Amino acid sequence: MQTDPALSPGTDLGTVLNLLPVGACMVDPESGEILLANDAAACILDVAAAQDLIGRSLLQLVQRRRRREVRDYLRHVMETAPLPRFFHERLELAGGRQIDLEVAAGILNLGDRPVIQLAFRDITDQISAEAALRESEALFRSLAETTDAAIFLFRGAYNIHVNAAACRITGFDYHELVAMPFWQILHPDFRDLVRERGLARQQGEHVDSQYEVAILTKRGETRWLQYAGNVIDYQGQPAVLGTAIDITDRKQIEQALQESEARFRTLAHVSPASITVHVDDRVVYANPAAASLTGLSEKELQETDFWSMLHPDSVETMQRAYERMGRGESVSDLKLQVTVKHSATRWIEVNWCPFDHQGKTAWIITGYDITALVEAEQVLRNNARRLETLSEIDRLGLLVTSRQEIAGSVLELIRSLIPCDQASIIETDPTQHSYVVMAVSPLTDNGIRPGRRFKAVRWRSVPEDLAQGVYLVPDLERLARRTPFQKELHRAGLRSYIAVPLAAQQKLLGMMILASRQTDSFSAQVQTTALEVARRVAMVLHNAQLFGELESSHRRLEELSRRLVQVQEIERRAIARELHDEVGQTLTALSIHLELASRVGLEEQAQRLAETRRLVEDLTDRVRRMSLDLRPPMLDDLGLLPTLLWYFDRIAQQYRLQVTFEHHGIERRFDADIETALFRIVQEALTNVARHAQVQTASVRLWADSATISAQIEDKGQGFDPDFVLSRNNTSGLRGMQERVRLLAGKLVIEAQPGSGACLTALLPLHEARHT
Amino acid sequence: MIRVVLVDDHGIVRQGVRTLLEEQADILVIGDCEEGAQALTLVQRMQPDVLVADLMMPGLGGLDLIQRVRQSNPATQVVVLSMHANVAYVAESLRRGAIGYVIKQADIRELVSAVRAAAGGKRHLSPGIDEAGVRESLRLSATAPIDPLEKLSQRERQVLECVARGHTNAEIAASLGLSRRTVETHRANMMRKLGLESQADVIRFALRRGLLPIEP
Repeated sequence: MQTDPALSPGTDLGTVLNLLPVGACMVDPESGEILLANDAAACILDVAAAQDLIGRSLLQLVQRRRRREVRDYLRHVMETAPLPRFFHERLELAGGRQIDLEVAAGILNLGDRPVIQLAFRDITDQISAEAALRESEALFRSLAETTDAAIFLFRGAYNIHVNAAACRITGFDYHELVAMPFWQILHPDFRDLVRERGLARQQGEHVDSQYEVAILTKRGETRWLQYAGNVIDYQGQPAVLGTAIDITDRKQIEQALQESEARFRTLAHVSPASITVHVDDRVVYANPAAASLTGLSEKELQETDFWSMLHPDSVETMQRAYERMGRGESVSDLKLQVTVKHSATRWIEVNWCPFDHQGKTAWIITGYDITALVEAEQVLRNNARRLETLSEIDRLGLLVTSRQEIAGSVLELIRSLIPCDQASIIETDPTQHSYVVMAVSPLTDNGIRPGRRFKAVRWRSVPEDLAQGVYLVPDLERLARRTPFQKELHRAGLRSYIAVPLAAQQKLLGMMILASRQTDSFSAQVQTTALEVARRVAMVLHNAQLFGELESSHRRLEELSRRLVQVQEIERRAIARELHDEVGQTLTALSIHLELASRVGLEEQAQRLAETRRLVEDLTDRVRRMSLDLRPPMLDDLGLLPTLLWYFDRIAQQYRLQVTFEHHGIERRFDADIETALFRIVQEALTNVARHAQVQTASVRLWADSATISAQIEDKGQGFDPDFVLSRNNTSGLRGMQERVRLLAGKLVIEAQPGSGACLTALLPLHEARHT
Repeated sequence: MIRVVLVDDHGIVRQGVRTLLEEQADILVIGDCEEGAQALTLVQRMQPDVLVADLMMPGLGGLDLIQRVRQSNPATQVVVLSMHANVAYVAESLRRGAIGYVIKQADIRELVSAVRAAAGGKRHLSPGIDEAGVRESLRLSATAPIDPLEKLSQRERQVLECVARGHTNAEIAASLGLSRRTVETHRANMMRKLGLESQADVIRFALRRGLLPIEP
């Protein structure tokens, strides 16, 4: 220690020394006696106070065996000039404690003799820390050299140290690695990432200490490293210790897998076929087509058990397939019906293909929605059966004429087409406001049997609403009130039914009833089929009915013509008698008179001739009346109007019946059959009035337009019951009128009641409106 | 001189009539034929004063002939010579335009009077003809509009009254004991027969015909 010039000579040196932060003392070079020391020195040297040091030899402070070293040191100080400013000494103190000191020594002339001035600082802790570090570094280095993990130790941009594994992985040697900025070995794709991470780390953000990076080796190959970086204190300064494991092989496998999976997913994603991957009966993957097929999301699919989606009809098929799959066989082209969202069912064609998944058998299931195809097939099949049934029904209509028989056979056919527990055909009977069972299939001993009549609760004479669609009762049990027929169905254990109208030409003939023991057993499709079949059945039944009517009309015509022949014969007989009795007799008389006239004289001759002339007039009159009675010639000559006028005059004379006649539009000629029919109707009606009504007046009205001609005969007489009169099938003439009108496609309205007169209205179509 | 054309399909009758007429100094038969169409041609060519025609002829009948002649030659008067004394024939002949009607069975000389009367524009009917009956027949055969109400059936009349009173079909059905569909049918027929289109028409009709009392 050199004398500080700032110190004045009078300043106490001890005081000055005590101000120093380091231990300081002055020592006699020869004896090692401490001449002066400060408190810091006392502290370092394990002495209570600076005072205790003064006067003691420095040698005494150290272990005996070290005294020589101290003495040598002091000598060395004295001899070596200039001294190094700082040097390191190790002392072993008297107490046995070793201390390391950093010492600065100088020679000072105190008075006339030189003394050694020492300033020192305890660096024991520092030395031991360095030693520990050196030790750990040695351990680290040996570890680093032997590990497979690459180790990069870098500070700033440069590696300070790398290990052998780093060299092996990167292909660079130690020197090359240490000489290059660390990022240079990074794959270009990762440089930014690593830079950002580094930046973030420096800014104190939390950054994952592990990540995977790609590097480029010296040979330009890409290698993948799993890298972990930590900031450590290296040689007293922070450095980054990066360890990296080569994961290139794993990465390549992984990438290959990813690529293949990505290819699979891409393919699967765009595939129109439904693709699902099943592991342990669970869906682990489902593509969009699968989702759209089932209406379920991928997540929902994953939570859905495949078996629960199966339609009951397909369970058995699936079980058989499952057994084959259990043997590891793949299953292809399996047609299954599945229930998807909203209870809809769809048909799918499914292929099962097994693959190994982590030691287990997993399945890739591809499915195609073939619902449309299957439905089309079903529709085709159904259509074929429907057509077959329809043509069978038609054939029945041609072969069989009995409606009951047709109905019975038709029901058999229908039951083979539409499954039901009982089918029946009931006929409407508008006159009795009731329904009659026509046929039942199968025939059981329940209350629905042929011939049974059911009174309508609420009769509808023109049930157009019924004629248009199917009447469906999904559950008889749930009806608040049941009609007699429904009660009978219910009693027979039937639960649901459809009633299909049998209508032909706007007329309800009856109904076809299909009943089932199940509720809700008639789908819309079945109803459509039933309706279609019913139309055909109605047609066939209607034809049979028409045929029946034709037959009866044929019989009526036969009856009519038989009666006509009878009437004709009666008339001929009357004419013959009249000709013989009246005309013949008169002619005979004439002949006699003429004979007489030729023989007598002129005077008498005139008288005879006058007599003859009277006979001729009488004969003429008789012949004319006869001809009028048979058929008024004026009907042909003059037409309807003059004939009617003549007839009213005649009936007034004959029966004392006054006719009030009104007409409009008939002062022209009509077809002869129309004129005849109307004349006969008026004639017949007025004759009836004259004979039975017990009145003196009647009204006749005729009117015609371009399409129709109508005649109305009304009286306020006794009246009659039309049904009764018509049913008596007698000579009232009403039936004759009906026949005439029917032949001309007209309409006859009979309004009559006993006690309140009668009104007959005949309406006949004219021209093309008529078809006889 | 009265120029006459004669048409009758019976040759004997025609010959007899011709002889009869030609005996008359003031009558000249300028033509005869046996068929209506020929007669029409003859009349149009000869322009006679009088055509004596039978009613019953094949082809163009007497009645049509009268009408055609009266249309094409109004100056030619027609006298019918017919075996029918029936008023219907007479009335019809007159309606068609004949001026005289002579019955064949009557004294055939009466025809001469009829032809002379016709030439003078006067009507002549054989004495045996019921002239009052003919007039009545002519009156009756005149067409007259029929009261449309008469055309309705009893039910339709009932329905008409109910509709006019503003009842609905359901109410009418209930009060008449009919089904609603039947009432609808009656209602449609009634309106068609009366040529009515709306309920307002029905009410107007009923008011006009006194079916509905006009209330203050």
